[in-house]
Amino acid sequence: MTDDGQPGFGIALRGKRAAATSQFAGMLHAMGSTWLTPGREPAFTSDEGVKAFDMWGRLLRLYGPPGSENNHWYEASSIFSQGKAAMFMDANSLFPVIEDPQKSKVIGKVGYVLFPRGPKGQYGSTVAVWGLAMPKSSKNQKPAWLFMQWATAKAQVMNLQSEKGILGCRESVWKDPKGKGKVPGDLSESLMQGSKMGTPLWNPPVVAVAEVRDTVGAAIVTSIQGGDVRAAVNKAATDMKRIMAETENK
Amino acid sequence: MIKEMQTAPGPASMREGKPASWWSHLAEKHPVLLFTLPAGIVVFGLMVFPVFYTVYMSLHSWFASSLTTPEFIGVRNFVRAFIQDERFRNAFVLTIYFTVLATAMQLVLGVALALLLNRPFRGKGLFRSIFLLPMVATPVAIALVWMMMYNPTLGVMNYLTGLVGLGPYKWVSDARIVIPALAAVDTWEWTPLITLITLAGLATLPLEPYESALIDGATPAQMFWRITLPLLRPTIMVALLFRSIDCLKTFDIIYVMTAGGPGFASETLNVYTFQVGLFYFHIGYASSLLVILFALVLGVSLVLIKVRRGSW
Repeated sequence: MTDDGQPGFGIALRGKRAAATSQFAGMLHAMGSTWLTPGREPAFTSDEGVKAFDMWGRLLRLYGPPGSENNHWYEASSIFSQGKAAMFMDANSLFPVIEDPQKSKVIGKVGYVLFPRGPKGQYGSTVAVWGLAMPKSSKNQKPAWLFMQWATAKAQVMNLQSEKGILGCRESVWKDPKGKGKVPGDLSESLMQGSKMGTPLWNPPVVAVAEVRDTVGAAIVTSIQGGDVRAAVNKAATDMKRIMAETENK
Repeated sequence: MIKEMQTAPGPASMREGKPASWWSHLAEKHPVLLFTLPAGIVVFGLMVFPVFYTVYMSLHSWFASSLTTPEFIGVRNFVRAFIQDERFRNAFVLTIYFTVLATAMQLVLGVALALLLNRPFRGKGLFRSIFLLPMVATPVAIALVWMMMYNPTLGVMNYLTGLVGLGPYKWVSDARIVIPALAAVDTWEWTPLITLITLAGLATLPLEPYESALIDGATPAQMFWRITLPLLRPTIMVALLFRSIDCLKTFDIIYVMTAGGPGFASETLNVYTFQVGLFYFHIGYASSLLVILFALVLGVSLVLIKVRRGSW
């Protein structure tokens, strides 16, 4: 039940095919599994991996808003910021939606913590940073490198983080009181912790990442729908292997 | 005409005996070629070339985020689509399912509405204009509004079905009813087109058969089934042709509302092709899927045109 007596939900999460995988990565790692073995074979077909898929689906099927199968961060964060869900696990970059005085109904009522630790105490946090990359084949390497230096310089990160609430990944900015800007205290604290022990594997480390995300996401959807999770996970692994064979080592 | 132009007094420069430019020479010698050239270039560049290039690419394997060039693999893309690719088979079936469902609903509703609107009543012009509005609205905006209406928690559709004791449904999030739910949106948007075409057909119907039917004592139902419908058949077939071509290719409302989900339960051929080409970067395979979609649309159109001309 929500504050105003309307029916509410225990948790809001992403459930939409490819979109769900990046947040599911937290569950996968907390359960003690990961995407690939060191030999680049799918690793999530282990018991721990299947448990992670099952848990994600069960949470949404039993305690999540109906229709979670089609929910992206936008839908899930709307449900949470409207006060209709007790918990929301997603990227911390979404905090401006939850702290938006124009739209949110839960300002001041939300606490931020790290992704819960798994049964064996494993951390699930992922460090999902978006980076800039320059291909070897770039024809303007020097200007590109200058731009990359400028865009990631302390001054830029400081500006974006304190003014716009776009969370950066420079420790020096986080240590500066000015850099924290409007970021809630417990959020910045959990972010500092998470960035130390979180895994960068917020998505499968493969070349054809969009295609593999759709494949893995299909297993997440099956789990939400209450289907055969193990079969769906095995199928995702088979498809992933095929896609990797088609697109890598060429 | 050209001779007249040649004998008529030319521009000042020509009259003064200056040599005409090569440009005007050319225009006089080959007017047909020259004046159709711009249109020809546009048609070739924007329509003919892309079709042939797509067919050419469909015979290649090319993963666009690698640095390798396209590799010729013959018809292996097509073999893969029809034999190995489950998602393709799923998309193929869903495309047909969506098209049959949507066009059937639109046809029945559209013709019924046209028959209603064809009767004289007060405010007929106003009603006609209002009925055309869905067709004029932007598809993406329509899709977003319907998404809100279909929302299982906040949407109005579950409230409405609840009033008559049904539901609650998950609408586009339920794999079993997502296609009918999407077809309903398409029907809401495009029924007016069928109404419009049928109204035009109704306006051209002769009165004599109705007069003789009245004299012979035919009931209104008999007149509808025996006179109106057979006479309207060619018109309705045109409307059906337009709608089925469009339904086979529907992309906007499906992509905005479900992006093919939940899972792959609403992934039609066009949505799947878009994913394969522009998200997965398998340009060659996406081209072959497009060729298949093109063949499907062409095939359905040809059958419908045949049916329209034929006797049944």
